Amino acid sequence: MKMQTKKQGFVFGILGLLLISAVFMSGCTDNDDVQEVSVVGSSTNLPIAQMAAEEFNREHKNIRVSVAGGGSGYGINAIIEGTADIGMASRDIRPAEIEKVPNVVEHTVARDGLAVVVSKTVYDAGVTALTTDQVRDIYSGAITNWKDVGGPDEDIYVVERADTSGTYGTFMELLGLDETAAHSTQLENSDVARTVSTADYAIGYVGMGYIGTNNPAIALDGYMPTTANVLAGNYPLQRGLHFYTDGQPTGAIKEFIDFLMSTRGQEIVAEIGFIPVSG
Amino acid sequence: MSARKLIALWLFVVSVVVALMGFWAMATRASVDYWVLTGSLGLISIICYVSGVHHYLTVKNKHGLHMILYGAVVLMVAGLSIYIPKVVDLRPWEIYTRIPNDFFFSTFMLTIGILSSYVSFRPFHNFTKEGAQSGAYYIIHLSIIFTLLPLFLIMFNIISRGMGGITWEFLTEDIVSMGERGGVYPAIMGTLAMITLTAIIVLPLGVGTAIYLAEYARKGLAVRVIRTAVNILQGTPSIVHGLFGYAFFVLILFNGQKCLLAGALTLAILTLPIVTRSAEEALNAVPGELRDASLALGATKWQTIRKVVIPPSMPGILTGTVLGIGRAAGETAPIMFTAVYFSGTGTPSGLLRPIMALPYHLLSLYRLVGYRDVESQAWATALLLLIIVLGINLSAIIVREKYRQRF
Amino acid sequence: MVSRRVKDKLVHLTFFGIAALSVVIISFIFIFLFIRAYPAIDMFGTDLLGSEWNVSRSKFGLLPAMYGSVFVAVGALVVAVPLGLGAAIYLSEIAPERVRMILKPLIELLAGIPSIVYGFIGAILLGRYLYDTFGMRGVNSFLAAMLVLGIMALPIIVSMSDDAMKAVPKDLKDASLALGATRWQTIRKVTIPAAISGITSAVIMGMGRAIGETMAVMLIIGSVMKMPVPFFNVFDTGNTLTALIAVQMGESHGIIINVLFTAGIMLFTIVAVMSVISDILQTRTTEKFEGKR
Repeated sequence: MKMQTKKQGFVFGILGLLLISAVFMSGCTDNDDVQEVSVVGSSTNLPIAQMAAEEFNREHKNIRVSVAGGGSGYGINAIIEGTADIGMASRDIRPAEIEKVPNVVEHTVARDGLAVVVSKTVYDAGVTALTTDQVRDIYSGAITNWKDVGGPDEDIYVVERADTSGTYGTFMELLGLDETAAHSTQLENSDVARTVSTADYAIGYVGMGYIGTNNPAIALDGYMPTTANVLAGNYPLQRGLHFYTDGQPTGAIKEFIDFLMSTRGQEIVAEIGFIPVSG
Repeated sequence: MSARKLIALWLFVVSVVVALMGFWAMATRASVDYWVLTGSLGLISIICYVSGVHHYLTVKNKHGLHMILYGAVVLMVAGLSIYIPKVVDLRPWEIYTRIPNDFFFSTFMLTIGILSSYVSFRPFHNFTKEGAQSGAYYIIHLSIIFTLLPLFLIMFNIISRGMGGITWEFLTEDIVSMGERGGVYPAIMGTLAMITLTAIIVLPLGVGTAIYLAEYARKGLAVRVIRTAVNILQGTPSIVHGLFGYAFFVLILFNGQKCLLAGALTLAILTLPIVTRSAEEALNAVPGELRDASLALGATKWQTIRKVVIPPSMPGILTGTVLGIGRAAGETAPIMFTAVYFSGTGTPSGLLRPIMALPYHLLSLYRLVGYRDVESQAWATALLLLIIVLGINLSAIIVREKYRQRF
Repeated sequence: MVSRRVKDKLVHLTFFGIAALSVVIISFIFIFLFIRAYPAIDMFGTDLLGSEWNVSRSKFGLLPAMYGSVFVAVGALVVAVPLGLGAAIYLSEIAPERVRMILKPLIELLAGIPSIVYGFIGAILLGRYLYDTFGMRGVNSFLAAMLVLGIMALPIIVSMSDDAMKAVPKDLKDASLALGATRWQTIRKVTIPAAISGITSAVIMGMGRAIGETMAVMLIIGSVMKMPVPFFNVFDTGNTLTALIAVQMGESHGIIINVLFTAGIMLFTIVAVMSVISDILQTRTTEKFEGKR
């Protein structure tokens, strides 16, 4: 019997420990010194928000910026439903959406060229430039072999974004397509970049921040997706990267938006590979 | 040893060597020369032929002919292999694949090697039923080896690639530059907070269900329905738990806010059947005589359960809970829509705040592999996750094995 | 005395309440999934079972994902069943107790590896290996998913079949051995036929796991909403119900969310039916041997 009491004591000890930690953790909930700012939406804007939040949170102990992906539509929807403080979108807000959230304020923190990237093998084999018509034909399935655009005699592996993403929408709109012959559909910009860089004969499209050495960008209609070409309006596929708020931001939300637009915030934009809008 | 056994042994050794060569060539994608293939298969075929002829001359029954026939088939495979083109291009048939003949050659060597070593047991035991048994046992031993092989491959790769990344800084620093630099501290804390909370929620529910099933009602419609529900819950895909957690906890209970509590509640539902089953097993292991004795002494049912049945089954109950927690710690799909935000800094700051978790951090690192320098960090994260999850499981298994033979 | 009995009754009721929670949860899962799925079912009806998926044209046919789920699960079973059966026979009939005590926990460890780790390894190492070997378009393929899911289904099949074969009474086996049969003949002619419903239930549960697996498949399968061409092409990319939900859920809003919940209901129903069948088979085995114990 004594043995059992001992064991019981041990068990209740563990349970007690668990309970104490629970109380301790719920105690933190009541601590309202920390202001929470939630940012959700486009995966193109995501690295900007993430890197900015990392620095911002370090400097502001009383504000916690949480960042999540979800896509442009999701970001705008979160503003409409009020489930997030800031919604990110890599496309412009649509009139139908503005109707649902009339006080929406747009903060454009960066510009972006939609880069067409190819596998390194293809790039090295000489496909370093395409026309928008060629890209359209590749995505519509009219061109299926690299040799038709001056590359090796290999079939093209066409990679696209999930058709729910803002980048997909922008790309299709800019090319005037409504259906593709893609072989692979990827969730986020980074997934497209990885798929293209791990294959040998692939083509895909990503935000400028996602160009890599194994997924180099090619020139479109003679222009590379560079800062100068996008700002001058020469590069055909381009867009703004927006952060939307419901009404003029105040308090912690305003501080974060201000940080994004500050010199340091715009430096982060450039570091990631997008185009700063000021400074 | 008789000549028959020696020939069979020879066949076995040669076949195993050929199978190993085939396996090695397949694993390293080494180029296999056509003559290596025909040479090795030819040798196997010759030994089969010798074995068959020897058997036929000494015993004169159909088994010898079978060996000769088998040898002929092997020789035919070797001979026909020359018609396999350098690259088998399936693209004309709309299958986007180009298979080099090396692949077929190494596959042939592997399969025919295994098959022939299996066959060699028959002549060794003079074509008796013991021969059939040894051959079958041989294949069964191979299958347990191949079952455990992935475990070792996974362990080896993760440990060798992730070991270098696990440093003190990795464990204690914030995530910097989306994981390219810094550590995974917030993710570790997030996962720990989540599994602690899950344990607190699931323990009373799981044990309560088990007590009802084991102590109060062993038969009847209600028990049948509850048991079926627990089984369905156990089989429910984790993504469905995630959807439910999003639809019910996040959207209805927490007003659209992903948070620690929503994730823990979802994981509690996921682990409930695991805890229930182990707890029930532990309760059932307590002999009925103990209960009867307690009841006979005038104790009520509840007193009996509390004082007599639960104490000895506590190790089993805790084991089940810990196993459930191990499962919860590694899950991604249920927390993806219910609890996790990308969040560079900061440990969990409250029940109603979103968190970062290790499995989800691994997913976001994986997404960056290839064009950002995160691969070593990703392997280190995978190793850390594996250490945590398998560590939890291992401790549970050890406790269980230790307390298994109590009654 | 009365108050003690009332208290006992109350305790009984409390435990019944807790136990009934599982039933409540199951119904809640179904109800809330259905509430979220209903707008899509209402709007598209049987079009949801079609084969065309095109968001910009509002075509949401889930057939490719359904086919993909079944296709990968069948492929996984082709890998897992022979291996798993062999391993289970070894563990339950051949292995000495000492070896068994080591191997069983090892196989449980295999089951404990998180699916995201399987996916990570599968995509980075296995996918690359298959890409280099078969010269496919990219590293994603049904084949890679089948192999990974096969490995993931192995522990379930092994441990459940092992339990089923262990449950066959020793008397039956001894009788067979006494009649002069070898141990292998006994396994083949007595143990396996006697345990067959338990083994079938193991295979069904393994298939359920393969159909329900999410993270590993999501990283490997390619997530393209189309059928493989031709339909048995394991080198093609495709989608499963689980990967579809996991990939698109975070990226979507509006009616697509409802469509994804419809996919969730399909998944839940398929796996629940499989659980129930497997459960019935298992009860049958235990009842057959444990009789009126």
